[in-house]
Amino acid sequence: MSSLAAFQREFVPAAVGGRTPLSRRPAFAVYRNTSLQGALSALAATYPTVEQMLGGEAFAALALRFVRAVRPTSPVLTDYGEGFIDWLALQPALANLPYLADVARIDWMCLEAHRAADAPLLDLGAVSDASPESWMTRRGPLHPATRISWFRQPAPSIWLAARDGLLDGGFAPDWSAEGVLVTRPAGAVRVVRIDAAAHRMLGGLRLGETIGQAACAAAALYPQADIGHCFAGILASGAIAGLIRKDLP
Amino acid sequence: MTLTAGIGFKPEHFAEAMSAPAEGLWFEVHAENYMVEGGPRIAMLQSLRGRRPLSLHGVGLSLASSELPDRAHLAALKRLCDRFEPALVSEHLAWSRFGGLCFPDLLPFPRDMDALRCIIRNISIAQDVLGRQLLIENPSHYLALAGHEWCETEFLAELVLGSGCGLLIDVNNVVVSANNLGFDAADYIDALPAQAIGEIHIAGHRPDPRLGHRLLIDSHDTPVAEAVWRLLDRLLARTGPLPVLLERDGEVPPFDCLLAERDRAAVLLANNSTEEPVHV
Repeated sequence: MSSLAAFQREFVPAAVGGRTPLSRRPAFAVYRNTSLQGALSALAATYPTVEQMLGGEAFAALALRFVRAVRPTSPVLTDYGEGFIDWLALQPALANLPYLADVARIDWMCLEAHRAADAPLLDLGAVSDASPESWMTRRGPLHPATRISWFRQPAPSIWLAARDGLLDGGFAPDWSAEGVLVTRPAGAVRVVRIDAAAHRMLGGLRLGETIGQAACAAAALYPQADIGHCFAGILASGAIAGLIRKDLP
Repeated sequence: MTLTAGIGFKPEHFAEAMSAPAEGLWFEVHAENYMVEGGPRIAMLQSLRGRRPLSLHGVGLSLASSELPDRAHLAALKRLCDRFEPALVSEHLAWSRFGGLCFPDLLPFPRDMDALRCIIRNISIAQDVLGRQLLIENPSHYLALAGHEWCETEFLAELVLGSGCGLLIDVNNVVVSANNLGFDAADYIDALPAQAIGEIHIAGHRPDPRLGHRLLIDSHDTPVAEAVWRLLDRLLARTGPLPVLLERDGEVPPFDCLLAERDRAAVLLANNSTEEPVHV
C-alpha cells in the first residue's frame, strides 16, 4: 500500500469519531467537527420543514445521530440525506409523529424539483386550441421537475400548514390519505395537495397514457371526482411539459 | 475585462451582484453547489455570468488522495466549465474522499514522494478531462503531521513543475497555518513560486472556542484580519496584480459591506500595478 493510502486509512476512523492516537490530539477535533457540520448543514437545508416542526435543537440532535450512522458518499452535499426519510420512520423516539417521514419525503421532493432539468412548460394556448377528440390521441409528458406521491396520512396538509406557520393554532387535518404534487412553474417550486383522481391521472400521464386514457381511468375509479376540474388544476400547476401525439416518442 | 478584486457569490446577493458597477469585479462559486441538472440555481448563475466573469472553485475532487479522481464528479465539473466558461478553475491541495466515504472538509496528508506522485497524477487527469489548467490552493492546517519530506512551498513548486498546474494562494490559510503550526507567514509568502500564482484568496478567521488563539480556525465568518491584509500586500509586491477573491461563508453581511471590503483589495491591487495586469 502506498504511504498516502496508509495515512488516509489511519485518518478515516479518527475522522468518523473513533478513538485513535490521531484523534486524541486536541486540534483533531477541527477536522471531525468540520465534516459533521458540513453534513448537518446539508441535512438542515434539505429538510427545512422537518427542522421547523421539530425545532432547531431537536432536529440537530437527530441529524447528528443520522450523520454518524450514514456518512456522505458524494462531494455534492445536496445529494446527501435521502436515507434520512426511512431512517426517521424507524426511530422509536418519533413514534408520536408517525407522519414525520412523509413530511421529510415532501421536503426531498421539493429538493428534487428545484434541481431537476430545465424543459419548456405546456403552452396553455395549445390546450385551448385542441379539440375534445384530440385528447384521446395526445400524451402529456410530465415536466422533469414534476413529482407526485400518495400518502396514507395527511402529510401534505401538515407540510403545507407548517410552511404557512399554521401548525400552532390547533391545526387538525382530516385524518385521511392524501396526495401531493410538486411542480416548478416559472422557476419556483410549488407544492399542492391532490386527491386520488388527480394522483391517478398524473400517474397515468407519467406512464405514457394519453390525456383521454388517464382521465377515463380516473373517472372510472373515482366516479364522484370532477375530472374536468381535476385536469384544469393539473394544467394550471405546470406539471405537464407539452402535448405530443401518442404515436411519437 | 481585467479581473481585479472579486467576491465569493451568495445567492441572497444576486440582485446587488448583478447591478454593482465596480470595475473589474468578478465572482467565484463553489462548483459543487451548481452540480444540478437545471432549475433556478443554474439560471441565476447564468444571469450572473452574463454580467461578470466567473471562477469555479471546486471542493470535492479530492486531488490529494491515493485514489484516482472520481470520473463522474470530474465529468460534472467539465459540464459546468463548458456551460459557464469560467475565467478561473481551482481546487485544493487536500483530500476529502476515501474508501467510498466523502468528508465535507479539506484533509491533510504528509508531503512525501508518494503523495507528490499521486497528486501530480490526479491533477494531470483532471486537467486532461477539463482541457485547461487548474489552480491549486494551499489548505489551512490544524495538525502538525509527521513524515513531511517537503515544506509546503517547495511541494507546491514541485506540483507546478510536475503537472503544469497554477497556484491559488489563500493568504488567510497561510496566516492560520503559520499560527497553528508555528512557522513564519512572511517567509512562506517569500518562498512561493510567484510566477505560478494565478489567483489569491483572502478571508476571515477566528480563534478556536476551546483552545483560543493557539488554534485559529479558517472560519470565513469575520472580516479579513489586518495580518492577512499585510501579507496580501507583501505577496502582491512579488507577483504584481492578480485576481484577488474575498471569501465569506458565515455571518454573511449585506452586499455593500462585502463590496467595501473588496474595494480595499482593489486599492492594494492598483498600488501594486507596476506589472502588466492579467487579462482574460
